[in-house]
Amino acid sequence: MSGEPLLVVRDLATWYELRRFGFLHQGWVRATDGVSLQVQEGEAVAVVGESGCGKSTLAKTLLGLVRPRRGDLWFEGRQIRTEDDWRWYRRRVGYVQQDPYAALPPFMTVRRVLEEPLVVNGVRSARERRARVVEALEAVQLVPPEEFLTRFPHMLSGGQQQRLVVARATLLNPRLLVADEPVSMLDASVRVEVLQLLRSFQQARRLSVVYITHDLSTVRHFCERVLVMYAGKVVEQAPVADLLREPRHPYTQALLAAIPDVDPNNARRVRAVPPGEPPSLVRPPGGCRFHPRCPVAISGVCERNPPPDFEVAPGHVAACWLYQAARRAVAGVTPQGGSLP
Amino acid sequence: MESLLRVEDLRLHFRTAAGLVRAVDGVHLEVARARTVAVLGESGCGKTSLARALLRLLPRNVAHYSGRVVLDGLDLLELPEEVFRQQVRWVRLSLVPQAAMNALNPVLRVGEQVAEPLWLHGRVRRPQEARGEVEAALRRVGLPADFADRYPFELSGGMRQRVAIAMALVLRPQLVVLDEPTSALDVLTQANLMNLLKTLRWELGISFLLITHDVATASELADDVALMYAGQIVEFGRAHRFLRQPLHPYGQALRASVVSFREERTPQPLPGQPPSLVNPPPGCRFADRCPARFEPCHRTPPLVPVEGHGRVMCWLYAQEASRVG
Repeated sequence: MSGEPLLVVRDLATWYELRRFGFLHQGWVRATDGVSLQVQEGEAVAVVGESGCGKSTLAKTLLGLVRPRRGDLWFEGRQIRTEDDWRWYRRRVGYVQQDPYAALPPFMTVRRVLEEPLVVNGVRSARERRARVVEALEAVQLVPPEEFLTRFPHMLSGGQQQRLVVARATLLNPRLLVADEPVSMLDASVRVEVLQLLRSFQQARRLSVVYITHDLSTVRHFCERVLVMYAGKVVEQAPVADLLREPRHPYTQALLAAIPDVDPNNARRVRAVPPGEPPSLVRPPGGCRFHPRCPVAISGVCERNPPPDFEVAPGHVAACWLYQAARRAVAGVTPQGGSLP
Repeated sequence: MESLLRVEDLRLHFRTAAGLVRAVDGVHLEVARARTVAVLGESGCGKTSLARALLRLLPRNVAHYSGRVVLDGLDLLELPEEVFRQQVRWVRLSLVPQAAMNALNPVLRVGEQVAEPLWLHGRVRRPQEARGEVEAALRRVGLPADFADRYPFELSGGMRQRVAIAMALVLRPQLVVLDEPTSALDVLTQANLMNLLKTLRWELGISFLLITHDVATASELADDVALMYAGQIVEFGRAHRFLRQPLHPYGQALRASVVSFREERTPQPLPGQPPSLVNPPPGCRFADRCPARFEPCHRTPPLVPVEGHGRVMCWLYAQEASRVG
């Protein structure tokens, strides 16, 4: 099995329809618009981007919560097409939500929260269910489990709630975990703890993780590969260390430059930040979607032709015309807007 | 250095079903003119209650409110409410509340909301007369003047946050309390907003009290840092020293938990949880989580002055001080 990716996604597009009065077609929100990615078994891949870049829609599509409009998805070598495929696929994917408090029913005890998926998935024996619930609590270090079984979510701290959500997501032994901003609602001091927990699951169980986040600084210690999204497209992907050492796409460069370190000199300097805001996904700019904000846009090229993926280093791909001269386009991905003049 | 704001032994306790919540419990701090103090602490440490106590924006269940808050020579707790409203709140001391971009009134145009403080404080007779000042206020925070005619839903989160800042600055206060001004915003928007706050500080000579849970955010603006834990300021001192080498064990643990992509070091989680503010433990409130805990920690630690820095509330330094002395 080694070498064959667990999940393959090609040219995935999930659009939402805009309607007036509930039925008149107004247009499409192109939340993800041609995303391709692969996740190996036991690999953690981060998807990074600002709000509105389509990363949560990508997560929802990968979870089977919304259906893509276009594109192909393979899981363990099986193509997911029919509703039966989706049902089969969804049993193998776990979901760690962003806001643990909203993701846990307030009227259910910890025990019921964890027992419910077992009941739904046909674990009949009450003794087995209890054993698995206790085991799941121990795995996320909510110990001693007896002390937590009868508690309600509001009686847990934010970090404990999120660990319960992780326990629920991993209870049925999924192969893939989709974590949508799992720590953004938590205190800085607790974030590391939850991320380390996810990391330990990934490594101990050879679980694959898609980690959706807006926070590039958490990526370094908890993922192998990063995808950077902008306005519904993946603009750059690379192994974590490569991307952080040498970001190629001007958007990634801006994103990295904007993240403050703990440095007392920060207070004395103004950061270089590209002006403006991410574009509308209803009518995204033509050509490269970053060109209106890009400090190094090539006039006559970037606003006309959407850039293809260029492989700038082994495993490091950037969708930017700057790298056209140096490298060949990645096979199989061609720009839709025709070739360069 | 001359201080603009001096807070001494400020206490704000709330009555709740669970008991008395000691949200602010003996806070001392100073803010100098044209300087920024970052109040740094985890959620539930009383940071926002401290902001409320300074602005006297108190809910009904206050059980105890005492101490001394001196702003530019005025003793704020002594003033009658009406005098405080007319002369202090928004005039000398204003607030950008947490999630301020969601605090705007959705049915009023932006310009009308920015004009409201001018009108309420009698600078103009009708809100409509404030147009010029409103446009200037919007331009000051980097928004086009014609945004005055827009409704809040027509603006992005970062732009609405700028409007909230414009409202807080419109009466030219000396001190602005910023409660988590960037926490709900995107990375680039955060950086843009921090750039704005830095420039405003240089141009207007204004002081900020920045409330945040994020050490990196604090480093963007702070001259001094007040580290808050369980209702108390446990370390207060120069930012350049605190950010490199905090003295209090809580500061050290918080610093070590910071995740950074530029640093090789693996971040260390901070074990345990802050104590309940209902019945805080006697003695040092951090003792249960403290790796350096020793015998005297069951007694309340003194505020130990530290040369060239500020002060720290920890027995480790009291011991050293007495040994040296």
